[in-house]
Amino acid sequence: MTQADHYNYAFLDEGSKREIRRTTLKAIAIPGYQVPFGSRELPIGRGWGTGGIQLTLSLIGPEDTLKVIDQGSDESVNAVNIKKFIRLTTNADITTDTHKATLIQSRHRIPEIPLDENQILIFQVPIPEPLRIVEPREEVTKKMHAEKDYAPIWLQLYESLIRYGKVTIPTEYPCTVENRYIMNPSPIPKFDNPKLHQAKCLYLFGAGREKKIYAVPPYTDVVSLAFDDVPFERENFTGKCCRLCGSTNTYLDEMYDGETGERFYQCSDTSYCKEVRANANH
Amino acid sequence: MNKLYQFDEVFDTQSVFRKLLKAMSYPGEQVSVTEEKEKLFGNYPALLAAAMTLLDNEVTFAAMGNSELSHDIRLVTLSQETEPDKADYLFVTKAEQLSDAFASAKCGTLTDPHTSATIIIRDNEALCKALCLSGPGIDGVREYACSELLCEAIAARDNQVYEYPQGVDMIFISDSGRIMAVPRLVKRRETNGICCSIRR
Ligand SMILES: [Zn+2]
Repeated sequence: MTQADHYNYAFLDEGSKREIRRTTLKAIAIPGYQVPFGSRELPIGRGWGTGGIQLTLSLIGPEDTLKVIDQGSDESVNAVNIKKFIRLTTNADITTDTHKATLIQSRHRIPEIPLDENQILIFQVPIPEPLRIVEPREEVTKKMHAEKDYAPIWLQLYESLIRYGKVTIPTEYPCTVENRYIMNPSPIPKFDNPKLHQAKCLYLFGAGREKKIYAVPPYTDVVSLAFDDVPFERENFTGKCCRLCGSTNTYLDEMYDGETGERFYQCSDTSYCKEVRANANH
Repeated sequence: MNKLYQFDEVFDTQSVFRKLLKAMSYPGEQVSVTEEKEKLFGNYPALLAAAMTLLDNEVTFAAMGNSELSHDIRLVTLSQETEPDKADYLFVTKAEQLSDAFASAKCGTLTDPHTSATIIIRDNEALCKALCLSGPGIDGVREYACSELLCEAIAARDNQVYEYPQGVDMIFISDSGRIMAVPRLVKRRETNGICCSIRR
């Protein structure tokens, strides 16, 4: 008897999975709309992103290969623990190779390699409501979405432009989905926002504490909020490159050498960085 | 004790769900639950496979007068049958019920569009039409092979003139296990003034 025999397959009871599955199909039908669901308690630490894990558990089957990344890395403590938990209850194949994964769970990044039609990216989202920065009350934000009343968030962007000369939202930069809902794309950098637009893969977003699931289906318009005269801009890494693989087209993490005080840059997507180096050696 | 079916409530529902997910994500594309539905019983095993995957005592359904299907769904899902205008899932097994189904189906509200119904349509017709569709999940405007019934269902849906995000999502399932989906935002597009043309 293996350890996994003590648990239901994929941990959740079938009723919980069914509810998440129904919710997921609804989320796909109404892109960018946050569908409420009865989030379950999981025996894992807070801040691990139970919404994303619940989505993964309700999706995963014996045919799947799972990749989990946290801060772009497959090896971070969070990513490793999530993989252990899911493997314990599913015996699923785990990979760090983005090409091989059928399910990818993430929080802060979308992999550098464009995803395909047979891949699903699952985001664990801490705060799903993009209007929360302008309105604390859930019943009001729901009404704002219903009436497509997005003036307050536009005003917020405009004020930040006036005050700082640019929009000062570094991550979770809001975008409009299919010309209807404004959506929080999870804490990905602005660099990754354009990857949501007209992608080949399905993107699912799960927020456990806030009990919401939402989706960006494949081939869906996702436009980051911007003004006509001040277009949306991604982080700019001009003149910088990864010190390990030399890439100049990736999202770079800035690092310091504690001893020398030297500043350097490194690909945030660690498996992509490895792939570039492996290919260079052949 | 012998079980009425071999359909695995954990692994077969997972597999059927992933196919429904694929169908909803890529409208117009066909997926197949032929293997899974073989493990079910009665005259509507493919519909039952979808029902077992999605339904339970937390949601309601309407079988639109099909008492055999209603019995089988209640038996395997513990979901309660209700009036079509209250049901979360409507099962349409006869083409002539389409307009009734759409006339009664819940379309959600602007605040809670997810409270809308899903219409599951038994569609055994040949895919003899070429239909141009566009919307989320479709790369631009693409031509798909589909049945006369699917064209009629889209027309019946469009007759309701739902104000998005309100709407109704459709899943077409054949007895052989072929599944196609048309979520609410997917629209029929005319190309060269021709729509629903006969496939060459
Ligand atoms: Zn690198």
